[in-house]
Amino acid sequence: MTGTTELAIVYLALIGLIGAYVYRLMSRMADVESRLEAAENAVSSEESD
Amino acid sequence: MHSLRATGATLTALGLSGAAATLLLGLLWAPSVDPEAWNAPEAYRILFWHVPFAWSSFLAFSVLFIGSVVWYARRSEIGWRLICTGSDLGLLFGLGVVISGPIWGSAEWGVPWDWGDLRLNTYGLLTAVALFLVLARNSQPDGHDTRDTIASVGLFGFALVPITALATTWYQERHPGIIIVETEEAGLAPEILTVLVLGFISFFVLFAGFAILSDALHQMESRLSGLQHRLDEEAIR
Repeated sequence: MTGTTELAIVYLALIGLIGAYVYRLMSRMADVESRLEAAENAVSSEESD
Repeated sequence: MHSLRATGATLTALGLSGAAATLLLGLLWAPSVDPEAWNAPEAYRILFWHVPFAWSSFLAFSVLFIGSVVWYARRSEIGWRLICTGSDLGLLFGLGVVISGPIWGSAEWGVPWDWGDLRLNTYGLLTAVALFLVLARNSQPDGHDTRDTIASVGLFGFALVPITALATTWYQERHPGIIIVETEEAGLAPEILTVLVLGFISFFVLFAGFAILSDALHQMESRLSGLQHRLDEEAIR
């Protein structure tokens, strides 16, 4: 046994972990940005009324 | 805000590129170790990401500690944002260490975990603290009481950092000692050291990128929460 299988499993797991974090960060950022824009529009329309 | 996010995205892209280069060089360029001295000689290449992940998690817990102190001292929003960023990144990098370490242990030692090893156990506890903080933040109503509790746990968590970092010097059982420092017993081939240093730099840049983006997200969430509160109050009137 040389540990090649374990090496492959570790790097696949770590790449998956970083990928999942980046995906979650970006999707949350896009979601919050769109909700923020909607809330800002709502506030500015209430102010103009 | 947009320039900050652009900086964060650039640092993240640079860090990811450096981490990928570290991985490729670690797999293809770094020399093999003595197969007589190791049970699973190829598995040693795990260290090129495992060690930078561990040091990045210590950085994250330092951010958490600073945030906890600032929160207690001033009750300021920036303190809370540092707590959020520190706990998120502490969990990310801590999980990476807790995943990669036991897999290497299975290959090299024949067991994934040694309950008699101080470093393994304090590090496991440290990651559990980060998991608790992230779950607590997402499940508890946001308010000063919740933030006080989370900040106090953050302060406790940081106390484990120096213990974990120095455990292999004070009380070494199974976990290898500090390998970056040349000693009579331990020394690294120059190629291995070069890849490891590239890994440290890359993960430091990646950590900075993630921290900036995470902070930008928490700023946006805080602003959104303020606007929603304002809209709710105006709707009641």
